[in-house]
Amino acid sequence: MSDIDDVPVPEDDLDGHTMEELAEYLDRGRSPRDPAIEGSASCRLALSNMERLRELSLGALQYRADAEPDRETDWVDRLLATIRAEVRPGRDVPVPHPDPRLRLSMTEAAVRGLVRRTGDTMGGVVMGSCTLDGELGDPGAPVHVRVTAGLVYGAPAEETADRLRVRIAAALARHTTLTVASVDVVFDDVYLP
Amino acid sequence: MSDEALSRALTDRIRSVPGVTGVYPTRPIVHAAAEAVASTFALQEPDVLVDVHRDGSALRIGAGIAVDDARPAPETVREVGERIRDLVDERTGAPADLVEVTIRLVEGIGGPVDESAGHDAGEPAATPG
Repeated sequence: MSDIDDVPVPEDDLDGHTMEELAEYLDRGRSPRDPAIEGSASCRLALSNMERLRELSLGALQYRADAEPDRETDWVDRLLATIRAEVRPGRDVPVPHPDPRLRLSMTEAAVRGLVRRTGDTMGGVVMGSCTLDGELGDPGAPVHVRVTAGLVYGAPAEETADRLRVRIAAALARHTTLTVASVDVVFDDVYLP
Repeated sequence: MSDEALSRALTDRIRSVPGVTGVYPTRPIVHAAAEAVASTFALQEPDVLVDVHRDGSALRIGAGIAVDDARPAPETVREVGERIRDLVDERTGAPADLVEVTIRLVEGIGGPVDESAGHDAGEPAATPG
């Protein structure tokens, strides 16, 4: 998938905004503040992920754009397409409460955003996609997390994957009530620091 | 108390909960706009973001929130739900039938993470390679 416009995401998922608009808004440093964008959870989720991607990939972009322009564009486009697709709220992950009148939950998109940010802030990787397999709506049901990521050139793959797994599991244990049965990491690209 | 006033009070109350960084309507903004009537526009104002829905005598409250990762998200959303419930009980004189709160976004600087907390969960798949 090389073109973010190929991803069939209704504009509703971004509360009427587009990824292009959000990219331009980021270019302007989120200034002047746009209340419609900042007041949308989906837009803020996408902005957060795009912002991090930009910080992480700037060096790689500058270096590889000269050497492998097509490949670089594909890589970034693929990541943007993933970010765009993952703003859909998805399934609800319940947060139990003893009062039956309270129905509390976290969206699947929020969980995926948490996983992405947990990986991107670790260093050494650029997060790609995040998939949650399992019955998210059933408390106690095993959930299998699968992430793809780009690995910084020269980093030890096995050790980095182990650190990433542990870090993701810790974040999910702290911020969700999911029963995480496994965290699988697939490095699908290598990038220059 | 009108529904708009109740929504405003609830929005304000939610924002005061430690760990809450944003409050959102439960419906996408464009959906609400499509059903545009004056009262709907009013409910989109920045301080009127909690959905107050009545169906006969039934009262349902709905809100979306963003939370800060400095506090465990389940703690934050539980406190938000309890505060909404208590305020509705206090202000309307009739208990809410259902209070729905959804975390839409977890924000923060992304660390530090206490990696030991999730070590067991990460172990089963920690296969080298």
